[in-house]
Amino acid sequence: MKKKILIISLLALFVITLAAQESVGITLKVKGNVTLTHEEEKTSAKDGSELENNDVLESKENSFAVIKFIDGSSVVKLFPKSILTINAEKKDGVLKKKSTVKLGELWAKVTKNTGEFIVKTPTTVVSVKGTRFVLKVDEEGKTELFTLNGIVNLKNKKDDNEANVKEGQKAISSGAGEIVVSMITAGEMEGYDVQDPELLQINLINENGEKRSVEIELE
Amino acid sequence: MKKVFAILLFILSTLSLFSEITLHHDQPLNIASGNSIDIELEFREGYSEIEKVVIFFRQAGDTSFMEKELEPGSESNPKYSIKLDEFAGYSSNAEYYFEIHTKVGTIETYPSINPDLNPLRVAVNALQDVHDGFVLLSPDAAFVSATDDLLIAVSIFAISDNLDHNSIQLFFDGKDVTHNSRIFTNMLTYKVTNAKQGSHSYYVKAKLQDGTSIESKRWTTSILETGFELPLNTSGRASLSMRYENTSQDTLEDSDKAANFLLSFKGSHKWLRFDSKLYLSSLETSSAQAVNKYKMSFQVPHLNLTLGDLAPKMNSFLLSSKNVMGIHGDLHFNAFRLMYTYGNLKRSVEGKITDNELVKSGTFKQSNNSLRLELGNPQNFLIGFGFAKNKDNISSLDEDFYNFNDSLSITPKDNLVFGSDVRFSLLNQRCVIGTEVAMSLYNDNIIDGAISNDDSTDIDLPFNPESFENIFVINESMMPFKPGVTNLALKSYLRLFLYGNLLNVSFTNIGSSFNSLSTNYLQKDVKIISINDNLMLFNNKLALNFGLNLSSDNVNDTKDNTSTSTYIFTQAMYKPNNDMYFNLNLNSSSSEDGFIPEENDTISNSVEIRSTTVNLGIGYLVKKINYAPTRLSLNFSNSLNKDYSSETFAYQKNNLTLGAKTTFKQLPLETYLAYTFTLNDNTNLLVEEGNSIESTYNSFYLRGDYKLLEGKFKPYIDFRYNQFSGEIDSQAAQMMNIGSSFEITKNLYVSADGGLRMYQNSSDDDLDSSRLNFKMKVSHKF
Repeated sequence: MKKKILIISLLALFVITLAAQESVGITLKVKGNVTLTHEEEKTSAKDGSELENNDVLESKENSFAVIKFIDGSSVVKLFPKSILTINAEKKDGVLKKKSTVKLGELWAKVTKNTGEFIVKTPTTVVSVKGTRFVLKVDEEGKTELFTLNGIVNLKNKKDDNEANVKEGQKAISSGAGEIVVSMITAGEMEGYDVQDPELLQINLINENGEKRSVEIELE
Repeated sequence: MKKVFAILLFILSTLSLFSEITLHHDQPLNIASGNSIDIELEFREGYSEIEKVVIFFRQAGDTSFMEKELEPGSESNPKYSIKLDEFAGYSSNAEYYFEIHTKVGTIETYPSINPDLNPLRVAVNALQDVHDGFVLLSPDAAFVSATDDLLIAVSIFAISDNLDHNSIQLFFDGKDVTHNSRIFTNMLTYKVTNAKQGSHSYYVKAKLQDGTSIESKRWTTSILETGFELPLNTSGRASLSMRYENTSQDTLEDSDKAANFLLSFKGSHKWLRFDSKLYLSSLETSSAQAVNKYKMSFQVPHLNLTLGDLAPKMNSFLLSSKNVMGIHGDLHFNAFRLMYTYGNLKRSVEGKITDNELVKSGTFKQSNNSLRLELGNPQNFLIGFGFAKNKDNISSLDEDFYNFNDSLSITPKDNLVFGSDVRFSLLNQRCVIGTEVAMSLYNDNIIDGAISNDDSTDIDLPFNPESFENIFVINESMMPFKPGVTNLALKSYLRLFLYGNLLNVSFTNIGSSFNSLSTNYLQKDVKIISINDNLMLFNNKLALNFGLNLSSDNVNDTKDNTSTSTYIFTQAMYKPNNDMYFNLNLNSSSSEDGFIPEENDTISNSVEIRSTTVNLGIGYLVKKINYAPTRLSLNFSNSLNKDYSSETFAYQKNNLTLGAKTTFKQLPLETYLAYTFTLNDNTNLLVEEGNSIESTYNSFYLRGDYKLLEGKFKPYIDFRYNQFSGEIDSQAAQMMNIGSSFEITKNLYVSADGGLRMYQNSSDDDLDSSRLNFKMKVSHKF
């Protein structure tokens, strides 16, 4: 009898733990065939799918997905034929984001001072402080990083070689040895970058001194 | 007697209550910023006399009003209503007034006196402190097209640990949609399928663990429509409406039917904008003024050009509130503006001759030429000059229809108005001072044209009138022949908005001979002083209104007696929260003809009529009925209308209305139950015995609104029972309506209503009648 109670309690605790899994992101936009694997269960990702820690997104040919992390600080666009594992956890009130790109291409925009944002590939680790960048990983793990804005740090897993890739630069690494940094050529990023909409902010103050601001996104 | 009759007509025209139409409007005290609002105008009497109701509205501080037509109700629910989404975008008070068009062609306004200067006002509640903990994840303009189904996702990640998740509420376009949302530990999502084209606002409310209420920002997203993509950005709306009414009384049967089609289409391409409107009605007939309306307008930088029907405004006395069918041009730069209008105020309409008798006179085509020049801008200083020339075209009407058997039934007119105005705006338009002046020339009969030079020398004119005939026809029919101060009109106004207090003061003086055929609502020979004050206290929870209107005629002392009227209104409305309100109104008017009968005159009497109305309203939302929160309302009014001078009549009315509106939470059902009791005591003071006639009026009303298919299909049914009894013929009326609206797609909407009205008079069966009505509307946006 006692054993049964213990098993049931453990099961209940397990279920509660499962239920307490917190969402860490959401798919803003999904086009085509994108699968979402959650605890080894595969489903089709849709607009507004909830993402939890360790979820895997895989985009097929002519498909893409846009993911936003729960703190609103970072957006990732996953291009066709790519695999992304979402890792994020709340620590000290801040969401630490550590995702893994096994294969494919992604674009990301990260807001500064909003918690750690790290992307791992089979061969490298990319640390972002506040920037826009594109990351490409091939089947052999070769990683190409293109920095569109800000500075991104690229570090080899095997030998800890690292490089700070500045705006307008790209870096190529096979995971060991030298990281080759060069300039992004004209047109190389065509179709990858997503510009922020222009934001018009109007500050208002009434006769009581109360302040309000209105933000308008311009098309 | 004629004098008394004329004075009575003048007095009655200045009273705020219509003689055959009784209005009731529950003015909302305030609205939360970001919310749209439902506005209703109820016709307690005279609903069947109404053709249409138009609302004019603007944000406080704007110089011009926008207008929209209200949707009619039914005989058993005699209201006109509209939902104004535009208020959702207002950050300061909203102002509005109604224009009521009757079937006989008259137009009244509510408020009745100077509504554009003293409109009704709704305070917009400032936002509560917004909490940064709510972060909008979706929509994100960078990734989501404005034509997609709308996905709303709000992160509560930053405050999740301190949040009472059970208290989270999501509001979309002012409605609580929490029950259709998905709430997770760190976020909530809500998907709007088939989102309607247009602007949508949404926000989140919740409570922290310690009970503190918090709110998010108000977010707004616009949904655009896809479809066949032209190089132009276009949108529009087409709607088809039809109604049928059949009345049976004794052996008589009468039916009435009408249909109309409205098409509006607008678009833009780079710097060019265009806007068109087509309105076709089955009531259009060549024997009356036009009902069909056509408009095509183009806008390029600095120039607006309109062809068709438009009601431009150029100074209150030159061209105002009158439709002109023609060409309208508006050339404008920063501190310069030139407006020109050329067209027809009226079209020619033939009369009717039956059995060699003119039974109905015709109407001349009346043309309008107006020009206005503005220098400056309304935000600082503005000065304007202009003129309006209105003239009947004699050749547009066959002579038999105005001069039948050498007897003139109507005469062609000529009218020339010159006007100027100046406006100062100070303190960011919180203080506006302005003055408008105008002078008119009016000729009541231009059939014989201008007088000749020979005739004019007898009258001592320094020029040849025939030389100026194309500008203005001068002959003996000019009223007056020699223009003077009686041809002048003046209006001055002050508008001041400081610390929540809105003060309007205006003075109007219109001479007895001032005429402007291109201005609507113009009252001649009148002097009006109007003071209105609107004060909001205690964070917009208490609204105080005060108004005083003093008017008199005989401006130029051309009459023996001067009639005066005084109208005072006060209102206090207290709304401490969204659950309850208290409202107290006091209206008082008095009118005197100023006539003093001579000592020996025992027949003529002076007239002094006073009318007083007190209105008390209370409303309370009973939330304790968890599954069916009910809003209770109680309204009591007492009015007295009495002739104090001649003591000929005294009419007293007491009215009590109880209402209960229930919104069921578990069912998509809303019900409304109301009971009205009125006690009338009409006393004829000229009759000594049996001079008081008491009558009572009881009315029961029940309505149920249901929602199916996620609110796309909304059927309703309502029933009203009215009973009149007492010392009058006992009468009863029963009305029932069934109707529904259906959203076939997010842009295609259909509504249909059918009703039956039965009337019985116990004293005279011949007066018993029944009326069947049906109406239908199909509307499509594109």
